[in-house]
Amino acid sequence: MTDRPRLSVARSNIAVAAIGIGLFLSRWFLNWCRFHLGCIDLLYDLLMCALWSASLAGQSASDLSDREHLSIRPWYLERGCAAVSQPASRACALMQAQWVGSAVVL
Amino acid sequence: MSFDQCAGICSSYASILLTEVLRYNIAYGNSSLLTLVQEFRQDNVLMLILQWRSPNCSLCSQLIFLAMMIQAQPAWAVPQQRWSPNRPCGKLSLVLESFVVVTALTLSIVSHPYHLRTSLWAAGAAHSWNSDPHERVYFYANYETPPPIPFIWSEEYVLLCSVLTIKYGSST
Repeated sequence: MTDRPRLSVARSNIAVAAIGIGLFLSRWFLNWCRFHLGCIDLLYDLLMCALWSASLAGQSASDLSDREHLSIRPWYLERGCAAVSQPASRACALMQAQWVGSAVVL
Repeated sequence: MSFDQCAGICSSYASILLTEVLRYNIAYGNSSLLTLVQEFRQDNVLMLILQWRSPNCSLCSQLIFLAMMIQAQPAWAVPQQRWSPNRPCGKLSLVLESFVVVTALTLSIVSHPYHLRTSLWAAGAAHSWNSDPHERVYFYANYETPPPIPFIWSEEYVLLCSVLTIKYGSST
């Protein structure tokens, strides 16, 4: 057991997306080989479903560190991006797009 | 999830893929990775059950491989699944999946830089929507322990994904 890995929501999203790409490439390759994975394919779908669910939960985490400014959901999911100025509005749009993309993949 | 874990998953998956293709295409040969254990001949179809002897294979890969061995059956007995990718609907789903996964990866990479989340944290604090990252300075100045960084803005906390995914790098 080595040191505890230093992870973040963003890094884990990349890792999950990379696994999704790997699964897609393998499916494409197996389709090219005219090969069927059968039940294993279903297992892969369930695995990706769990991963993207965890990713969505991480992207929707709360901020309860300040008792006077509790945030159950990230503000960029609850409010629009028009209320803030650049560069936060661009980051807000990106995070919203990523959340929607994760939901679509799920 | 670290990159070595991701690389472990990919290498394990590549090995599984190689095993399956070898089993299906009836490719013989003595490999260091794959050992021919048993062979059946039914009609003109050969079925191979291959044993994986890689010392670095992760637990999850072994379980997947075990499941593959359990479901191993001659090619003529493999039922044509309704979601088979060889059907037109399956090919359409492959094309759709390609768009979706590439878009998801692109969005993940574009939104990866840490300063994006920091700017969102600061922008939310300016409108009193969440905690303020600059308040941590006052805790340090008063020799007090600041509250832990919220998970949504954190760079150091372990995500649930790391528990759900294959634990490869630290187990070898």
